[in-house]
Amino acid sequence: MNRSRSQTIQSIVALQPRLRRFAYGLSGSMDEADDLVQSAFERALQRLDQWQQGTRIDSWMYRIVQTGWLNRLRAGRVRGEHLASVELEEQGSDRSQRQTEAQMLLDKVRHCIQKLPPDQRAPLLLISVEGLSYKEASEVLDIPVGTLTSRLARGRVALLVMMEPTTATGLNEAGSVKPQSNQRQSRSDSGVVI
Amino acid sequence: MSLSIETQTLMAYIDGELEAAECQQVEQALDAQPQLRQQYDQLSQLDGLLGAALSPALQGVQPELDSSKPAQHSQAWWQRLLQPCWWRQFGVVMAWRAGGATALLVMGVLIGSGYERQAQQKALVAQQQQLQHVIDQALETRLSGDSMLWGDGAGSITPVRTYRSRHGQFCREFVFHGGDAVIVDARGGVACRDEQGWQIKAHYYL
Repeated sequence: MNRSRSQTIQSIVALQPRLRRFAYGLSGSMDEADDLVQSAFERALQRLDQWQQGTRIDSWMYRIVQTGWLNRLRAGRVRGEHLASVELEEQGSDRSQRQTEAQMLLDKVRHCIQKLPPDQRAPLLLISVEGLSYKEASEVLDIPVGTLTSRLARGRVALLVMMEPTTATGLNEAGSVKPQSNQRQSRSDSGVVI
Repeated sequence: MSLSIETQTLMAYIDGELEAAECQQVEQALDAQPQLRQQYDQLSQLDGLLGAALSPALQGVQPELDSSKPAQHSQAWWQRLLQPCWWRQFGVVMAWRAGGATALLVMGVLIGSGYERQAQQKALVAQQQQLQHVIDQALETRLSGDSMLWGDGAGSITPVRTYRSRHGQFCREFVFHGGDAVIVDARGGVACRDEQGWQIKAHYYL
């Protein structure tokens, strides 16, 4: 194995945690994420000569993970939402209220991510979580920047509406800021389903 | 002054995609419009929440990436074509010779299999009872997020959430990691506590 190839493989291995996070966000399952990353790794090794020196290897790998996930979706190998859903009635935990609430909130975020359509989920993850620029994300997803920003906005607004239906009404993914509803409702009153 | 800032522009500002002049315009609008500021806060907070929600993927030991699989695929077509032929022919000859011996073995195994099946069932029941005991212990003594090992450390059970049902029962959600798939075929479940102890109400198979 020549040095350049070896270095490239090392770079890919170093990306594993970020690829895993991206795959976890896409699939909603850590097992599925690990499987996606492993498949992407194999595919990358097979096609290492297709990666162009000087371009970002992380973008290339995100693209392979995303393509693998879409292929699984199309083949029906991904069952949709993996996260467990339990109706929370009254909290009663050994942990402190604050810790339990924080855990609940993060569970809810993961749950809501999985409710987003796939075409909104991927831009949101690449930009909000992975920190890619609009241009980089549009290249990963192979869509124009305008389409990307539109999907990103729809995804963010949809997520906010799912998280806080009453407070997110002032946001409109396509237009300007709308007046906010005065009828605010506390989270505990809104019948949160996790 | 009333600046109309589109949601996409506000997002582009958060994402660091605007030029300096546009940033200044958004910042002026944020100062002047409390509602816009609130929406900016919501969007910024959302990004933080997304990162935190997916952070478990960054934590802990990452599974080892297996680089051996592509090596098989990367063989040339003529290598793949040639490789199985010799052992297939060899395998056919050996299979015929082994056939007689196998038939004798099968007869012996059939006689013994009745006893063996009974013993296997007994062992399985004992393992299930042991698992139930571990579930009871874990749900009774462990905080959410703390794992309890079972089966010589081959698997673990972790309570992940605790709540009280509308009937006043304490219920806990739990997940399994690892372990023998024959004994634990579920990924997790929900159990509620009554006078007899922890009763499993549901299993997750996803």
